[in-house]
Amino acid sequence: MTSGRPLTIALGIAILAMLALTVLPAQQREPVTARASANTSPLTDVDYIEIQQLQRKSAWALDSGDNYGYAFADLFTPDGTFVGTSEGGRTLQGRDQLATLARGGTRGHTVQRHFTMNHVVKPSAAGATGRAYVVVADVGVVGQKNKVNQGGYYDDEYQKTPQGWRFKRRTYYESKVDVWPASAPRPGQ
Amino acid sequence: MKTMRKAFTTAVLSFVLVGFSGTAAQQPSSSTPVLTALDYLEIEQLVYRYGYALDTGADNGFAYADLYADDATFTGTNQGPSGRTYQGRERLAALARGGKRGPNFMSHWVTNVVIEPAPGGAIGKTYVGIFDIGNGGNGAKSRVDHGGIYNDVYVKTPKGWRFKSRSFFESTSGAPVQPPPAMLTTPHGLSAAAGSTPESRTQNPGTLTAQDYIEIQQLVARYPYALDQNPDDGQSYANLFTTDAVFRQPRTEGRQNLATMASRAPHGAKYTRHFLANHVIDATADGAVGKQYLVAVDIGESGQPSSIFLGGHYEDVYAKTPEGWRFKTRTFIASATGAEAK
Repeated sequence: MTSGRPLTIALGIAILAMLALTVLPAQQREPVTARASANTSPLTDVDYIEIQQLQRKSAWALDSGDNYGYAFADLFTPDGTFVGTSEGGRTLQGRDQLATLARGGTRGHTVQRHFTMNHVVKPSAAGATGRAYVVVADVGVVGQKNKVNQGGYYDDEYQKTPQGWRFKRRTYYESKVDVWPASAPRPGQ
Repeated sequence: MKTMRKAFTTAVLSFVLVGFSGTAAQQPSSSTPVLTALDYLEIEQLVYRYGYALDTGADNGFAYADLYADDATFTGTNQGPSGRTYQGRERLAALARGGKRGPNFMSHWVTNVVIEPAPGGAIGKTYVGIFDIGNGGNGAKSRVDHGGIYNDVYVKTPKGWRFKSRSFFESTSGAPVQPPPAMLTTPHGLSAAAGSTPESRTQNPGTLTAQDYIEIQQLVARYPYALDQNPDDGQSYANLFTTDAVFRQPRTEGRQNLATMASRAPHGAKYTRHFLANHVIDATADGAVGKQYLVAVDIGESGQPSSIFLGGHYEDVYAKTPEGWRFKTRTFIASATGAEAK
């Protein structure tokens, strides 16, 4: 039992495990945590609250279309980017492009569609990152039954600017189930 | 079996609620820690990470298991005829990898997070809506599957705040079967949680401290519990308002009228209907104003489908009183298709 073989096997397994962790998608291997790593600064309570408020304001700005969409655009840094990954994907960068996302179609102060929850935030070397669930519900649409339209999550990078915390980058991913055990009931069952 | 399940659920609920009632109704004892604004935020972050860990099944379920303290438990009171409890890292991880999951799967929507200090750490409760969104491309429509309440006990460990226990109770509507004890809606709980007098926490007129934000967030988070569960003929609901507050619509003034209004709404000891989101707060010279989205979900019972009753938003004015932050005015505006933005 003092042979080096078990040790070699153990080391091999450990290396394989490390490799597996390296190639797994980030969202699979890295639970979102609020802990600062060695090269990040911890966030203060005021930082958390300001980032929470920024994230929540984005839903209001998107649904209201305030200021012809610029209320939404101004929540981003000047070079800020929004990436929509559904339907082939699209990337919008800069104030004018971002404003186009938040105007047109159905907007207004009595439009509530983007309900965000589960907002987690963690410090990063460049400021902070975070994620939030978003469910898009169609409610109060004349002639239609209220319904859940779609949903998913936002993956965010935040940056502290002289004007306060802003989105540096926001990416939307549509919810998609990959594993549906046979024991879990299907819709309609 | 149904009777057994009901008895079990009632027993567990009573135990948890009585525990909450006991702590909420009293000022913090010497063994009750004072929670800082950062404690509230870290516990809130723990609660929000739960959804990601469970829905993704990350790290083969261990991302979920590691949100719990070593000896912690999760109890699903809706699992089996008498509920089921999972304890220990391996069993909790197995739970998280046993259901629907995927790196981009979003199912557990948590909101209305109420937190209070308690001996040994903190306790809390949250609403959870469990949605089927994105069904793997099988063409099925997104829908609300079910929902309810998590009742939590939190403990601060060297690794940060963790769940000591978490129990899920499925939403059940209707009048309370028995008068439930007060949950975390006791007004004193809110001001006591801050650990100092309101006056000492506001530094300058027109500015809000982190603690002010937390207390206003907690005030709003308590609103759905007071309305949906209404444990005391609307008194908890009314006490969220100032004595001269006005609610619209219908226009209702004064705590007694507010209590009556709340009691006329559907409620039950385990009923969850009002899901609030996107709560933003701004300081004013007199206090603060805020607004948040509301989606009222009629969660299906006994196999019936769920549906969205209505949606819209609240516009609030908050006032700082000797009891803590309270609603000065609260106005509900139903969502409606808007004109194109100008």
